[in-house]
Amino acid sequence: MRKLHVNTWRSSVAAILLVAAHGAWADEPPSTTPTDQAVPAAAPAAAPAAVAAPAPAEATSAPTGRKKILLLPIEYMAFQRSAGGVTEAVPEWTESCKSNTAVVLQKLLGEDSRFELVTIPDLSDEEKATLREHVELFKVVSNDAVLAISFGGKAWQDKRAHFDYTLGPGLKFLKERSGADAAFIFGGVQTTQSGGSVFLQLLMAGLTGAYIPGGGSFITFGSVNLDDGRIDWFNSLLGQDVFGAGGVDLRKADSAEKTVTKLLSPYPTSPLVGMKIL
Amino acid sequence: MMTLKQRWMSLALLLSLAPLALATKLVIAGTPYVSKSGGYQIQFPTDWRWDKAGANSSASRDGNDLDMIYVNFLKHKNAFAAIKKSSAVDMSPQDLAENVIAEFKTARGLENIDLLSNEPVSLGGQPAFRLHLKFRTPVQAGALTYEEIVVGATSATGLTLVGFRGPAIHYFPTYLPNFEQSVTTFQFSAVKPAPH
Amino acid sequence: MPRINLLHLGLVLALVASAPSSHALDEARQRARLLFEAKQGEDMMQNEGLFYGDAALDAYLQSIIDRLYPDMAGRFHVHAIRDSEFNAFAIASGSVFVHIGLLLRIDDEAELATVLGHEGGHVVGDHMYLQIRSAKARLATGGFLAGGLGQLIAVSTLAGFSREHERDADRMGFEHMVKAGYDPAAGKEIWARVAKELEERKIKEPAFFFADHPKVLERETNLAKFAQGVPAGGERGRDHFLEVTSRARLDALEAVWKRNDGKLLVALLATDNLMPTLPKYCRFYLGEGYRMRNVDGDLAKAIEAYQQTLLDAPEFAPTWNALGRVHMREGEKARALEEFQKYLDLAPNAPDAGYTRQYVEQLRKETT
Repeated sequence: MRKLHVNTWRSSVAAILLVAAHGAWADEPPSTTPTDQAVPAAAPAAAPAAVAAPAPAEATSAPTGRKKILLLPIEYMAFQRSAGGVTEAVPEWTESCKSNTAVVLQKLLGEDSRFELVTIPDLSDEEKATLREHVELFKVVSNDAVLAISFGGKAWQDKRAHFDYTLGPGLKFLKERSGADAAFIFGGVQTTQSGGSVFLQLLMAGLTGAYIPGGGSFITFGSVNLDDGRIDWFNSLLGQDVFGAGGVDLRKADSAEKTVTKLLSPYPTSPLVGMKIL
Repeated sequence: MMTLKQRWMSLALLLSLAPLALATKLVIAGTPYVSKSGGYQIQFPTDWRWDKAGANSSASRDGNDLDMIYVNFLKHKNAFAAIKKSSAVDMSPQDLAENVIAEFKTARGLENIDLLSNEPVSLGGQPAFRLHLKFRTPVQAGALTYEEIVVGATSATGLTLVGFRGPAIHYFPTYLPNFEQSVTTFQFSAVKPAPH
Repeated sequence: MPRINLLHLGLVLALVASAPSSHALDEARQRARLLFEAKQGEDMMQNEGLFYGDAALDAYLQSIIDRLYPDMAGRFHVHAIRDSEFNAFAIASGSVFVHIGLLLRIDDEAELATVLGHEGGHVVGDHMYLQIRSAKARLATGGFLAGGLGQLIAVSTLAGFSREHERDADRMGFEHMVKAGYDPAAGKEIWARVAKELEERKIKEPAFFFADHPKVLERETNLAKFAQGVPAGGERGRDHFLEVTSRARLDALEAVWKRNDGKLLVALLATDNLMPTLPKYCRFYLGEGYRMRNVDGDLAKAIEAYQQTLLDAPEFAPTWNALGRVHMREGEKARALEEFQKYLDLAPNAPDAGYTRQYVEQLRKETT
């Protein structure tokens, strides 16, 4: 049977960190206005290496005049990963993330002279179902776009230069009903680790040197041309927490503002993947 | 049945496995993919990205969840693993088709598959079946309607399935002709046994 | 490789023992999370087309659970689910889901009341909340390597419950069932039938029972024991049950057929329980079961079942096709040709008619 061998130096540092972590985090759930969690001292040899963002795609055409846009309801889920790897959807965090994001987007898009925000019209049940289906398609398309261009290797790089992802022309009825040129879709997921989860993550790192992934986030944000369904602008963010720190957290209003502003800022250029990964 | 969090977290897993899952080479016109272990060759659509895993191969234009042509070679013994059945070289296309439907329902956990058509065709000159399926499958926290064509035939060594799958919105209908063209190029060849 | 340092290990273990525990989440928040997940899960099932969608059937199921738990009007919401396995489950929101496959295995309303009473017992007993609390504590203090499996067992509100909770739900369901006037013997009869099905299908422990779940025979024993202390007799409600569930049961049977599950078709239909309640053409499915199961002697049994179906329901087209395929395989070409032609006369637009036309063309050449 293999014996458990532990690097003495690492176990000492880990022990110190564990004591500090134990003091820093009781496993209290965040309040409805979460404050920043204490960030531990630098973890041993596990600081994330920032991956250089890929070169941006060629700029899409700048819109002439104000672009009329529909901001669709935010699609977002917030989870907590507890000690033991139990992951639960957290309703109040989910609502915070959605409302923080919606507030920021309404403000940014409303104040941007390039855009005119248009109200979503009342839709029939059939229209709602069609819209729902296209939003789900957007999630799949944006996932595959990120996978292909960011991780697919050389064979997929042509997609960067010719980003032709589309949802098809099925949303034309929205243009006809609302007068909007495009729909903005913002969606994503984040997992925040509890103090206990970080505690155990540190423990495992200290004992065995193995890093067990904990929290993280994946956000996509795109503009869909309502005439033909082309995704005419797109950005995304993939992030991973390291020992409970460093990831995106839309529960906090200031973090949401920072993240959403950062995602929107390159418009009309689509950098396709501003990325922090371990 | 997957829980909500399993579906959302499956996205994270998907991304972590991404480099393993995506086709990695560009298809060049006039250069069919030849599988010696699978005993077939097929010309995928030009400029799609293709890859292989053992005797199986696949190609996609936009991503595996959007428009994927696949060729699966299954040895006869336990070809239908989920329903614990084997195929045989003399199994009729109709019997094969019924087993494939049953396998999909069981293996993919989809009781809600609609069979749009099930007809005899030929594949590489052999009697074959052609299924057209429609189903709603979980994607992240929602569900999306997919359509799939599966063409299948047996050879001395196994069952070969040539299929195309994509969302019913835009991708399946748009790139179905590319699949149909690829299928016409499919040929069986002698299977090279795996080295011992 | 350096050796383990006992002092450090001791320190680490001491810290683990005092680790911040996930079960410290306050009750209100934990319940809110459970409800949120339950709602999301229910929306997803509906979105994927898993709800069977028969309003009359759902209303019937609802009326039974409302009768069982009259003090909890509005708490439960029952839906039939499009799945041919034997299962029913409750989630934290009070929604109860009954697979249409379950309706295929039970005889009457009293047996259905046993199941619904049991599921209601999980909700009344607050088992989802208790389960997740204890599971999180269990995982946090040492089961963290259980990973995905542990999470599934602990967190999913669609998973099975502990043995203790299952026994509690059995007892609570039984008490409510008897109080509502149903026959106390109904409960144990279901489990006896399920045990027989598992034996026929050679399944040791079906997929929907988790490791903690009382085995089927144990549940039969429990319910028999409960029934001993109660006077026999009470409502069975067979006729009304058969009437309301007829379409769902046929759809469930057809789903089993499409899954090519020959063993299950034989297990369900070779007894005297189910077949008499179904339309006469359903003997075709028994024939199909034998054909798919294909053990010694099954082909003869399949042919017998098909031929009986032809006598009872000659207009049921698939029987002709099935016999044609058998006879074609057996080399009885003229007979097969006649049967295929009859099939095409009755169902020219059947999804698989293309194959039959090919057979007819081929057999015509071979028999002329």
